[in-house]
Amino acid sequence: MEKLLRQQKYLLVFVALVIITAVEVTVSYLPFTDRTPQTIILVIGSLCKASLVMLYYMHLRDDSRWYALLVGFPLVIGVLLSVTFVL
Amino acid sequence: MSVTSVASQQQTHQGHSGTLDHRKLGMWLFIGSEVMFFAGFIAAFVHFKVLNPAESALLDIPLTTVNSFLLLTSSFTVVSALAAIRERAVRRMWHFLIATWFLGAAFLMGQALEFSKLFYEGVTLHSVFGCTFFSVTGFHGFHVLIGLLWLLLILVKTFRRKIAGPEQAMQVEIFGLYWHFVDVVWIFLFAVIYLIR
Amino acid sequence: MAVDAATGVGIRARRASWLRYFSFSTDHKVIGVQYMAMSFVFLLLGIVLAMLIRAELAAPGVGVVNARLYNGIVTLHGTVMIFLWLIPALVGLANYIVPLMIGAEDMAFPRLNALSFWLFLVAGLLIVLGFVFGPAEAGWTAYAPLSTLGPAGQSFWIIGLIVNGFSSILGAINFVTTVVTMRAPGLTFWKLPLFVWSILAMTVLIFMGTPVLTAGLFMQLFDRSLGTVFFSPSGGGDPILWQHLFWFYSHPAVYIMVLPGMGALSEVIPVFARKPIFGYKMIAWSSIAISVLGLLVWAHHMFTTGVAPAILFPMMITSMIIAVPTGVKVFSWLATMWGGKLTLQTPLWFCIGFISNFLFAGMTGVMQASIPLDVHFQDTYFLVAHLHYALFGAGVFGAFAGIYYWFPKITGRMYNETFGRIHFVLVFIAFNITYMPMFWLGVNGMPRRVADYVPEFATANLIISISGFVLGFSFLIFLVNFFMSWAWGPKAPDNPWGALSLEWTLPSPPPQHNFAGRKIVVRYPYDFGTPAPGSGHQSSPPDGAGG
Repeated sequence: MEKLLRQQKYLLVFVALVIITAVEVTVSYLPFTDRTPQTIILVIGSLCKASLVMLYYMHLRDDSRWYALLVGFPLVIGVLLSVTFVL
Repeated sequence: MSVTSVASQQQTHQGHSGTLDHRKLGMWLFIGSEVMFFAGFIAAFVHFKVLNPAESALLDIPLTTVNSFLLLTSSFTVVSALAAIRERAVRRMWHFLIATWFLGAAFLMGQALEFSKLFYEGVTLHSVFGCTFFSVTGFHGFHVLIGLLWLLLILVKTFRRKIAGPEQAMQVEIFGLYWHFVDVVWIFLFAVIYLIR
Repeated sequence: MAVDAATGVGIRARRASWLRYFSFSTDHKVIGVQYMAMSFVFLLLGIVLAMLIRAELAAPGVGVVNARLYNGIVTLHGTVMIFLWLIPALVGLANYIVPLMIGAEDMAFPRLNALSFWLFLVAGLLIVLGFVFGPAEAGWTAYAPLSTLGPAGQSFWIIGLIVNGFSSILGAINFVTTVVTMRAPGLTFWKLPLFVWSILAMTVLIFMGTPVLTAGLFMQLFDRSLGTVFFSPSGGGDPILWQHLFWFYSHPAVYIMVLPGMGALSEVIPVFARKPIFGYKMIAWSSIAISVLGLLVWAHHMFTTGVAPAILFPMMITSMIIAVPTGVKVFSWLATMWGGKLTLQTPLWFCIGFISNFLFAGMTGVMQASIPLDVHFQDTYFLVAHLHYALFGAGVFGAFAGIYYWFPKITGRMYNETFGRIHFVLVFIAFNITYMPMFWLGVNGMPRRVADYVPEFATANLIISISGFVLGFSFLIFLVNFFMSWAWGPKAPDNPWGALSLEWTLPSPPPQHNFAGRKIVVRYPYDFGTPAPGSGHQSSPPDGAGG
């Protein structure tokens, strides 16, 4: 019984990933002159998708917090690095 | 305030600190370092992106959208393979792993197509857009290729019944972590390179 | 078969034992010695290069070497000292000692460990070989466009550093995994020796920073060989991008070079003061703080590049803040020595030398963190003095403290204490005479990496050069002591210093499988002095404290 739930969760996550991607692509095509709202939506969308994959497919939700720290810390610093290069 | 223990010769191959398996920890550390590696290239891409609207207009969004779906699906199949081997369903794992392999290979072919189209349209390494684009997506594709070779090894092992049940599930899980990481990198690349304009 | 009187081992067996170090082995003890031995070979090269630099600068005018070759020498000197001497030496020491300190049989990934060493060897050979093909001449900082346009040796330099990066990153993964998963049962993080904490902090920096440098190195390689334009202004690229990528790693690199020495101090000082370390948790946290903050200061190397002030001002502040955790350590060490029963032997002398030199390094570091001051100090001899006080005066002195301290454990022999003290006195005095005047030179405008200077600086430079030669030769005293003691020194007992960490419970040198079949008694490693009942004096943390 429990294994069925796990497989269902994976499928649900997959569906969510597909939907978010479809939304992202659609949003990117919308003809706005000011690209800021689109950029924000796309950044948030990517963060959601990445989180879904990491939390559920990479089992960060179920495993020790240390793994999350080991990837979370570089992610934060990596984003900081990218932001520094844009300034 | 002292604890005595007799060290065993097996200690080297047991990560015994609670819930942390040493192979998994090693893979997560590796992933962390790879995050920084790609951060360097993505930062360079972003550094120059604002200056090059002309060339980025040549990007084929429909093609790479399909590619993105391929890779996302492959993440689904590889985690399903892991779930399968944990229940000793070797055949089911086999099918999901084969699917993962073909999805990954299709992704690479899609990338090759995208690269050749751009090259044909005059985007080379000698422009800022060209070199940052090709380097970051090239390294990503290289990581996919390594993943496919690794997956082949796992498939061979499965064929020779070396991977037969939950006891060997860790091998599949470690590969899965690497594969998901490659997918996550693509999630960010797709947004930063293709969608954000 | 003839038997060696000191160890009772057959002479042929003993000779074979040191041949082991030339073979492929996955034993962390062998790998550790291999790292350290190779690093000393590269140190010799680095010293020769330093002497060439000082020979050129002994008098005004470009005489000893031509100006272009001088640039090549300066580049190789920096590169060798950082990447091929100090970092590998510390990695080697850590490789040997850390598994012993945590009661482990080996590192978490022994074969990966061996791979790391052999990659380092290949990298070193590539970097040195490049000198022959038209030397890399852009400084160890390899700024574009000089680096992207330079001779073929620069490509060797780049590839060598990429390979070295792989070696480092794999090593860092190994160390973190080992410390986290292979501690003996009962050995909680708060009972770890502080040397282990410092290595943990060091390896976090390695795995965070090195990949970014690797990315930048690939970009430089592509610029040189594939015609890409990452750093080429004429192609639309940006040389400052290289500086960002380079310094993102290379600033943490200086903490990588200084943290293990600090860890060694935290081991040596309590033992030679017969007192528990003052502020154990503060020192542990300060190592982590240096690690995290160290990743957020890199733009202080770019104050004069015209980068946006929005980046520079925050990094000026973080660069000053980082003096706090380092200061915490210095005060803790002083408080440990205060009121202790000091045994003034070589390891402790190098600790004292470290603290003295580090004061100057730290103070001048904070000075340079201030943008208005750095505008004047940037790329002058003020910086050269600062960096040598930090990396040599602190980093190398700390390494020597550790090397002398653990020499008996690793070799099974006692080094000669008199030679050790002579080494220390010579190196400490010569070091300060060599580098202190450079602060004055820098304030008065002498630029770095130039083969000549105005005649006003002649006297100072001559003094520096003479002292520099003495400094270089002082290393020979260490080498003589080292080899003679290892070959013929008195046999070392298990615990010559009366220390309390786990490595001292093993024979010197330890058996191949370390603790196999032995009882491991885990205890707080600084429990010097037993509290008298009812005295209220505590020399160890209370049961169940923190965690």
